[in-house]
Amino acid sequence: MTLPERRIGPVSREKMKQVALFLDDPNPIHYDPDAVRRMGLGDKPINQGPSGMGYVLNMLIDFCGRPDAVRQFECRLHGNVFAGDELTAGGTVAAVDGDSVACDVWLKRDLDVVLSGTALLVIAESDQ
Amino acid sequence: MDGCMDDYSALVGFRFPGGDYRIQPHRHWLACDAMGADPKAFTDVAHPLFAYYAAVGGMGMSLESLFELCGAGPDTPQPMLGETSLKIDTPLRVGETYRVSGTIEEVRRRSGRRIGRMDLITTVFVLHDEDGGVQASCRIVFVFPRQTS
Repeated sequence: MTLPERRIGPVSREKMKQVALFLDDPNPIHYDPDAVRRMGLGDKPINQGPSGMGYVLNMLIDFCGRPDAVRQFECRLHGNVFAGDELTAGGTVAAVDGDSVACDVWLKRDLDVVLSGTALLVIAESDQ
Repeated sequence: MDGCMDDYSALVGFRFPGGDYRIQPHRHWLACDAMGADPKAFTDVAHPLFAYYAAVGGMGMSLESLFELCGAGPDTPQPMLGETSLKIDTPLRVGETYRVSGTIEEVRRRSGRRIGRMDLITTVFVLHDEDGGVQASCRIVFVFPRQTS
């Protein structure tokens, strides 16, 4: 079973600044295009890795209808996401065991997988 | 600092100072907004990414200090997020305070075509409730590119 995809973007450089402040992240690649150029990484700010995780978690929350269903999430980041990128978060159900649903998940820019991982959802009664 | 020949394996076992992290409603709202989630859809249970945000926010030192500890600074290649694992035993709650503890679990030196020499530094954090019960855990692997000259 394929999970409903969630479209993201264009990725906002203003949100990157918000996250940099939120995390107190000193890395200038998230807010200073000149720093990105100096490092030879292009000319657009680079999105924070946790934001990519958030996009995929949002897709899972949409699927479950509740945030408390997400109990495990593991991911590896494969590449940078830049300001202006348009992304798609999606995945497939790998296994179902009672109330537990194991999923393979991904975040793509066109055909490039920039994040991949797994998630465990518990689809049970919610007390929210 | 040229960290090319430094051995950071001595960091294994480092204990973060730790501390308390409260999922403040306004911070939760802003974080949801920044990652494209509807803040109003979360009435009580926090967004699961707060297992990460609480770990980093409550580890007892800034990211800048952590990066410096691991040999990265303004004049070195910048660290990157490599891998993350979140395990949420009990859904986190907006407005709740969690006690955070953490360690550096592993340092692995690797070489890659794109980055060259790098250290993969694995940190592990646990979020406890006020009674000490484990509520969630977070494992983060940071990638520290090392200069070669």
